[in-house]
Amino acid sequence: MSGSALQRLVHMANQIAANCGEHRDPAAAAQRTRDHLQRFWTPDMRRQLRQHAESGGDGLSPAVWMSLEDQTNE
Amino acid sequence: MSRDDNVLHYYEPQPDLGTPGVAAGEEVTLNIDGSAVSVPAGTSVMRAAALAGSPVPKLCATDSLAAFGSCRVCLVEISGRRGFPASCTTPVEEGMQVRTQSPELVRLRRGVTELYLSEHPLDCESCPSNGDCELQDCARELDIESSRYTAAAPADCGAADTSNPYFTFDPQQCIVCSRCVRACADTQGTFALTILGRGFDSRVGVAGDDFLGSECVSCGACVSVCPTAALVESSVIELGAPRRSVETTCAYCGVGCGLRAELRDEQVVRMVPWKDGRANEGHACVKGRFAYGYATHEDRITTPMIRDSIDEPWREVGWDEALAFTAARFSEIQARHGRNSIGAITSSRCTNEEVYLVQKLVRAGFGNNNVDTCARVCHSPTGYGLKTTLGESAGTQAFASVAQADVIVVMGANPTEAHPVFGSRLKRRLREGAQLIVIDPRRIELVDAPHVQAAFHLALRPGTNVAVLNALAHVIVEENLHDQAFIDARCDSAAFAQWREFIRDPMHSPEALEELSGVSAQTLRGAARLYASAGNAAIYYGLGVTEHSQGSTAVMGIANLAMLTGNLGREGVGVNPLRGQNNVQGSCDMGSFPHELPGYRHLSDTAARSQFEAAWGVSIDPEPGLRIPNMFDAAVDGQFLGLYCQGEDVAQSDPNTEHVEAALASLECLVVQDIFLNETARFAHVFLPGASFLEKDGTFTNAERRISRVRQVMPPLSGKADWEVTRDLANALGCTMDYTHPEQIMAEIAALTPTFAGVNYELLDEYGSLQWPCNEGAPQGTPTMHVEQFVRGQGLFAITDFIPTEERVNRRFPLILTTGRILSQYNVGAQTRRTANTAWHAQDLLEIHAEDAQQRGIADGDWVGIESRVGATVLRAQLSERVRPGVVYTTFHHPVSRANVVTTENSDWATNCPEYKVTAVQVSRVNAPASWRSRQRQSVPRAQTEEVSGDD
Repeated sequence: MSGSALQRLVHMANQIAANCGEHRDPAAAAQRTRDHLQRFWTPDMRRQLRQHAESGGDGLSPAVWMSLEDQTNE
Repeated sequence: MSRDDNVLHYYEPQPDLGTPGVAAGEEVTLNIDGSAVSVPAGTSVMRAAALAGSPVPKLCATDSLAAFGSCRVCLVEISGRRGFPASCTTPVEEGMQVRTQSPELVRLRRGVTELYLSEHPLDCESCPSNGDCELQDCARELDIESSRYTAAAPADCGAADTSNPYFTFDPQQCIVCSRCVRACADTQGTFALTILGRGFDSRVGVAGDDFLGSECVSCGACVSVCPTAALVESSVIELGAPRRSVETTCAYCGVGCGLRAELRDEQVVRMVPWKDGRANEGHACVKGRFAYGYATHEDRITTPMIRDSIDEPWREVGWDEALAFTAARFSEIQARHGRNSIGAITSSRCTNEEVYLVQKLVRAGFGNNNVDTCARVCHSPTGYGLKTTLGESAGTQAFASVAQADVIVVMGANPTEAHPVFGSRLKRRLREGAQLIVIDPRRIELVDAPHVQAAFHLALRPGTNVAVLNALAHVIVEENLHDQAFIDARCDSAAFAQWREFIRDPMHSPEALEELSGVSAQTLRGAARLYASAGNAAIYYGLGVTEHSQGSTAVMGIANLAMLTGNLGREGVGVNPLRGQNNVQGSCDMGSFPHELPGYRHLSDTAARSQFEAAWGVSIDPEPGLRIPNMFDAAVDGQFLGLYCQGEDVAQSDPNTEHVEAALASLECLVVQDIFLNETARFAHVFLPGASFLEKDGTFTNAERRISRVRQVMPPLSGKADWEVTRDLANALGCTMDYTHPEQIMAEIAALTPTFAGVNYELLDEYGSLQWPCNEGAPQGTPTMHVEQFVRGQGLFAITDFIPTEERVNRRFPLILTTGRILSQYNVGAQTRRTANTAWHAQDLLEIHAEDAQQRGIADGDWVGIESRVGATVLRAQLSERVRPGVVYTTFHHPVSRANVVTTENSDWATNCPEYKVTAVQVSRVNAPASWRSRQRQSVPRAQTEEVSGDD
């Protein structure tokens, strides 16, 4: 996957987390972010984001991190 | 007078009962010419007589306008009353005995009619309205061969006004009945026409030299009501009177007007508003009424074309070869790159049946969910926001509901330009006394129109919608103006408690937000109080709400306001998205989004999915597919290689043109199905000629969830209807479809979609149209939603954090560009630019405030360059006070304007709807547009680099 496409995914995920109230309640925002990605993102997009997290996760917001950890721990 | 009725053999004018109907209520029974008739109290004698089968002659009366009582032709006799009352202005009474025919009445009517004829040309045989003229009808009924007062020649009223490209005003034919003046005022609300002069010198006129140069918006209301040939479609003069008619539905905006195509053989002579169309009730606009010429424009492509590579010329082929070529390419791509490597985009211009077939082809034929629709770039946040809060992805009301509203909020919409027929309804209600709040960065017409004045105009900074909605909600809660009883009864109490704590935070107060939003605290508080204190308050919104990085949040903020004040579940209230295209609602209803099946059921819903799997005999992927921007990203990345694009010009309509074009150029097989060789087709390998709305058979669903029939007026020019093309492509791919008529497709939709369960063509023909949900619980449809409870059960107050857009102004890009539509043009202009509507809007202009213009040395009419972080374009400047300093505005109807070259890829967090409404730009005066544009194109990468490195 190209760098710019990955950057877009990271940006979109961060934007979702921010709009899910990350600054107020990061844990709840992580849960909502996870639900959102599950409902609206393709499995491939989710996989790419997870792989990015596993390789350092540069640029991911804390709530997105948390949402991906939740999935990893399943 | 001519007695030749030949032209009437096959043509029936729409019935006219003389005066408007009255809402059902107490019934009054009277006797007319010996027959008993019962009508609602308040009905005129004229209307009752027409209903009783004893129509009274009339000239100034028509049932779209309030009675006027001036022509004196409709006199009747009423037992026990003196004289001869005008039947149009006399209300019925219980037991009334009415006579519409008597020797004395004939004598009186003859005298009056002869006076009208004394100044009217009598050459009926050469008149374009011969056979369709109410004066002629009167004369014929009264057996008048000539007028006793015609010794002198008719008065010289001046030459015909042919300035309007669609209709002619011939004052010689005018009987000064004032119908046109009243239609312009009462139906359209423009007040462009008036009666000039007095007595014998009275004549219809406009302010200005002629119709084209006047305030006239060319809606055609005056033409529709004219009883003679004074105002007549120029096409009728040119082609002759129509001989047959077909009722269908307009294919422009989301109002979905019922139209009647009137034809001679296969040629449309004129398109008139269908009086029984419930969305428009006999009114239309300059687009639907007149701008249909594109459908037979010489630019239409009617033969399929293919090419191996986009740098090769097109090769015309037969349908079989084109479809076999497409199927082979798609199959080969999937064989090499997997089943997820192809997808489709459905069109809001196509019928429900056509859209349904494309999503079925993707899910059952391609074996994935890579289907999206052009609603992605307009109202996808409406779907998300309303589904989340209320439980259904649709507006809550019928258009007619606005007539019961006491306070109307118009937010991010410009109904008089973009939804003009609804705009006229709205203006009518405002003239009756309803109050208006406009929330829009631009001073739209409604803010200050003839006889309409907004109580509040919240001229907010683009990008601050959510902040403003939060401030309004904050005031309502803090000042205890909310409807606690409604909230307790109808909404999720835990979510409300949480939201209440959120919204009470002083950070949401008007005082805290006035600097950010640009709206004074006083105005915000006044607007909140007005909205909350209304008996009935309704919100209408448009793309100025959805096309933002927080579009979905703003929609939820609107729903919060309506729940907070109990303004849901009855007439006169509600949350009403004004959909942009004719079938945005329908294309979304039909499962066009990559995460849900028809009827807005998520793919993860096993029960729903199983239903489709059983019906289609396939297994459906339970995971979401790619959205349009994801498709483009995946294409650039080499993962997505085949796209079937049904009736959408993504190369012109989607943001950041450069990125879109790079994606399209990366595809190995792009199939474009359209009526014209559009911009997207430059990157296509297959062109499948589409059918215009005149060639379609099916249904559209408008913004009020109204499903209306689209009936074929002429056979498809290409030989195939669009649904047949999709069916045949599916079959070529091995996905069997055996439909022989769109009615069968609707039957399948109804069988699989609970909200459409009761819909069928027979019922649509019987009722004219139906608003979904239409099923066992609502067999005649549902005009108002959420009456007893919300579709989701309890209404959900959603937390609406204001997250500022990332698109910020700075020294390099100090102005915010926002976009919109103009009345005469439509979207990217593919249709309207191919009509005479260009008379009103030959080019897109950049509206700029005089203060900003002066700082840049820009004068009205100058060429100006507009540069954003991603691109640049050139337009002519129009100095305007409709925009505030710091904001510039343009329309996007002409491809040469390349407005989307400058729009960015910022998008709504929840739906990826592009943020068209907020682009930071710089504007500068340009002497040589072509060379400036070329220079800017070369410099775009530099601009992007500077942005990444931080220019703020």
